[in-house]
Amino acid sequence: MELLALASDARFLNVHRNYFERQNVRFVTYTGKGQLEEFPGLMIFIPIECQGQLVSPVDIWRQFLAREHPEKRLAIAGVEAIEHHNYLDLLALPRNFFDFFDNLKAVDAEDWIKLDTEALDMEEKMRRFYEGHGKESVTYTLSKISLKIEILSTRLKETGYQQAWEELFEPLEGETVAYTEEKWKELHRRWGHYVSFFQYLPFREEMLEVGRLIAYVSPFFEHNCREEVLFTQLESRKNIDRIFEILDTIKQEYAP
Amino acid sequence: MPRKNYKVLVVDDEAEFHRNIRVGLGGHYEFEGALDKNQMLDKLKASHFDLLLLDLKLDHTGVPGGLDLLAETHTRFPYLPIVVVTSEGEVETVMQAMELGASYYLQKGKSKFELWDKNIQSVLEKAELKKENNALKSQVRQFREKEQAQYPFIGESPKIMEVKQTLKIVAQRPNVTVLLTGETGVGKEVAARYLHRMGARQDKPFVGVNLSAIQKTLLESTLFGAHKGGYTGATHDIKGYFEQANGGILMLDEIGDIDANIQIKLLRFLETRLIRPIGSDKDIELDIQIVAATHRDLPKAVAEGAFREDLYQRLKVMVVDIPPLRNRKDDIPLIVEHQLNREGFSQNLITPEAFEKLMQYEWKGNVRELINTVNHMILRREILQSSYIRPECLPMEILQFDPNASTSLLSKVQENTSAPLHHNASLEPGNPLSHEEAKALIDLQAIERALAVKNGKKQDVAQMTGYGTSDNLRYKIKTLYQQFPHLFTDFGHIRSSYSRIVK
Amino acid sequence: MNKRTPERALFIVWRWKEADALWHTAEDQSHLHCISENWLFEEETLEIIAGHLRAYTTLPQCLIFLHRKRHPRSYISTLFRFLQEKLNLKETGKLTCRLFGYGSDFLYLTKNPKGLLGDGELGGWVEYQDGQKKEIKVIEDAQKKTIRQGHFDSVWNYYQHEFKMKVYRLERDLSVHFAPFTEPGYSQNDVSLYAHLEKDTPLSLRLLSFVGEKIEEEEASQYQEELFDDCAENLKAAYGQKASEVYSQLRKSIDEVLLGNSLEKIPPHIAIPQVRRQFMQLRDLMPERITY
Repeated sequence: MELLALASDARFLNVHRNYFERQNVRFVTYTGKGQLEEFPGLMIFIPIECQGQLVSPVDIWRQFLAREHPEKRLAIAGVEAIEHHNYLDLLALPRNFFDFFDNLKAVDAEDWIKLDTEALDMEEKMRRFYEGHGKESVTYTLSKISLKIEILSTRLKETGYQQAWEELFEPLEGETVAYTEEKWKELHRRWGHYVSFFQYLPFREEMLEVGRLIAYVSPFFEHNCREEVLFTQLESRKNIDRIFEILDTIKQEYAP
Repeated sequence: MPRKNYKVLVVDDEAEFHRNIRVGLGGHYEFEGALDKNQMLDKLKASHFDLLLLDLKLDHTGVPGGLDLLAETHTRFPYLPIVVVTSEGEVETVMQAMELGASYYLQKGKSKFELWDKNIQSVLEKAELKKENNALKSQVRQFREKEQAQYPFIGESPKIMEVKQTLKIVAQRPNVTVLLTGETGVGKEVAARYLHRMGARQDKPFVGVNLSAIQKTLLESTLFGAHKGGYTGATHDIKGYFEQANGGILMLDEIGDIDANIQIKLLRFLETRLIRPIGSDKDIELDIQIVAATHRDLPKAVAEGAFREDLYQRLKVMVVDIPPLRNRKDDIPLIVEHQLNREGFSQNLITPEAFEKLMQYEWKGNVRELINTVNHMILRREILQSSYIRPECLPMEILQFDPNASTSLLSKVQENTSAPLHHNASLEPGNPLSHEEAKALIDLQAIERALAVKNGKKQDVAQMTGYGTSDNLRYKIKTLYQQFPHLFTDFGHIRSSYSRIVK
Repeated sequence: MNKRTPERALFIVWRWKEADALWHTAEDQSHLHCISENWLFEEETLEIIAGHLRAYTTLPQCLIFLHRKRHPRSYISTLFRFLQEKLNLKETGKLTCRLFGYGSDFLYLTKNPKGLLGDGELGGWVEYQDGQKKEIKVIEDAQKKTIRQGHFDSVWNYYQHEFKMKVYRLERDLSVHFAPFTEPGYSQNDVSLYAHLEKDTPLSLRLLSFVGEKIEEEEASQYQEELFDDCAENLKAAYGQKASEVYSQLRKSIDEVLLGNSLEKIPPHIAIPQVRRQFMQLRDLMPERITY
């Protein structure tokens, strides 16, 4: 049997290689939720350590599977001594792995117990990504950028780019840094802090798209939106809208 | 169509937001900006704004700030529409903002900016409508207050209190037909208006019609309306009283005087809530509470075949009988006082003997007659150039009424009314009262009357008699008793209420 | 001092360029006490710290930094004993004392751009290893005596959580390392776990430093960040008697089971989970969280 595996530390996948070979179980590393169709379930090896922090994506995965793939199994494995119906203690493996696997509780079971570990729940991490850090939060910063670009588009119906730019982007008196450019840097910075966490989540691919879009439109913002040609060619308005839309959809589902 | 240049105050601590709004919404509005709460309040106090655009901020913990400011501003400027701008898509924040008084919310990024103008415009238009509506409501309220002053339902006698209580209960059932009975002048219209004021229809029209005052041939069109050409002389559409009263109360006074044709139409309305104007082929459905009134004996009219029994049955769902004034004489001082006050006088204007006459009279014309009498007395006082309203100011029929002689002190005053009040006098029969005694007697009579009306509540008595506090009143009685103990014989209420002073 | 007691207070005893100063963060009112130890005797330093702590109406969570040059590890126990006595402190886990020095700790801006210490002062021009120079501002408003929240948080989070995290990581890595010995049907009970451990030098050094063994200077400098610097002292002194006992038992188990100093051979599938259990017991007695 092949199982989809999610781990931040490759040692976990290999530590019992002999055992799992004997049990005829092979792990395939998770790269995107599309893979789920091909496997009977997912095993998350905890702890997930990312940027020196321990995080748990278990709850988000359970929500996702219960909603999208209730027939799939979710197992959690680790070297901590944890009591949980779907937990595999790697220091106390069963003689027959399938005694464990076949008796896993369904992801949509009402009596599913939340896994209690030292790790920070990824839901909390997501909330911090969206709303934390006050004025530097992604939501706040992106909304400012988005508003600016929308107003720019509106103004362009009535006037030329140069005038619209002067009205909206030219640094105000006393400003040393251009406002929108600064906001973009903040967004970039915040994204950089969090992006590596997203690889362990079901919406990894959507976040990768956001990352690609951010990189794509960056040249426009890095020059304080000065170049009309970049605004047009990079489809900045459309792409910012798309970034907003993806992030908002994920927020509604996972960090409400 | 050119738009009005609305004045908008933008509140945000970031200059960039002000710039965005000015550029984005530009020409349509006249903007002013405030960077903080103090600036905002200063500007709001200094000039008029049509709208406040308030950006809800996030503090360092990610909690949306500005909600407190929103609540405070809404309390201080309840008629100023406030549109909040949020950065986050949290329904909860938006809900909180709306609960705290925001008229609308805009979300950066989420609400398309192209729609901001439209949304703000719509809030402004709604606010204008609301303002107009409030102005109208205020006019209606003023009208009602004026009306209430014009038709006060005065009386605290047990009988009238019972009527009031009944009307209050009936007022909670705005679809019940009410029949008010009682002699002419007892205040049936006043009672109907009281019912209107107390009930669910108080914000809707009250239309009172005296059916006996309308020419019989015009009654149907006056009540139910008529279409142009519906009858000879109907040169335009006429909206009848029924339609005018829609939603409110229609008082049909002198219901006993209507003919068979109108009776049938009224019956139809009571059964179906439909009327049909003359000349129309369509019914109109109306929501009206009917309050009928009559001084006639309707059962007798039914027995004689002059009034339809089925209509009578429909009308007598709730019968409220207004008692004649002679059966609730306790209310006379209140009505007199009210009428004098209305004309700018105090009750002390009437001498006790004149008052006694009023109390003794039988008032066949009821409250209406009493009010007319007070007006007559005021006029007569002026004609006679008298400081007080004395018995000679009364109409002859009242002055001459109830000639039964009384041995009360008051009757002594009466007897001496023609005599000059400055004479020294004793209370022995035949001895005229001194001026001071007469004055004391008037004071005592006013106190005695007030004690009766206010059920001995000294604070209320002090207020009613103008002494202000019960201490002042007590002092007055004490002083009077020290000077004129012989005057206290006939004032039972005073004696019992101030037994420690009046031995 | 603010009347409101902050939840967090950080003390840095150092050769500050300026005299003693008290700073705070504007957002959550955390405090930073900069105590200048120039010309002070040790006893005086302790008195000053105790004096500051006494001034709080409720004792906040405290991190105290002492310089390595002047204070040996053993001094941490002295400091705890002194403060517990002076403050009549019964509660455990409120105070943590860490050593720092020579620009190599997370407290320094050279090590951590969100750190606090420049050259004898808060912030300033920092020269990095690649020769680049950059000015980092730690002070937000000198008049209001405020420092940047982000810098305080970074240092606080690292030191407050890092110690327990190190213990957790050691436990995890030992478990992973020895996990194959616990598999069902594993039969070589006489295997030397220590011999297996020695294959992983950094892990064995971490374990040795955890139990308080002296590490050769050359090796220590190579793995400095992963080693347990003042671990034993803190475990003995900062978390109370119970933690000290559990730590002792754990050291004994490690010595017997993993370092091969016991004559009696316990099967690995029993011995390894036993060590893990003692690690967990110890972590449970450390009140701070390893996640933040």
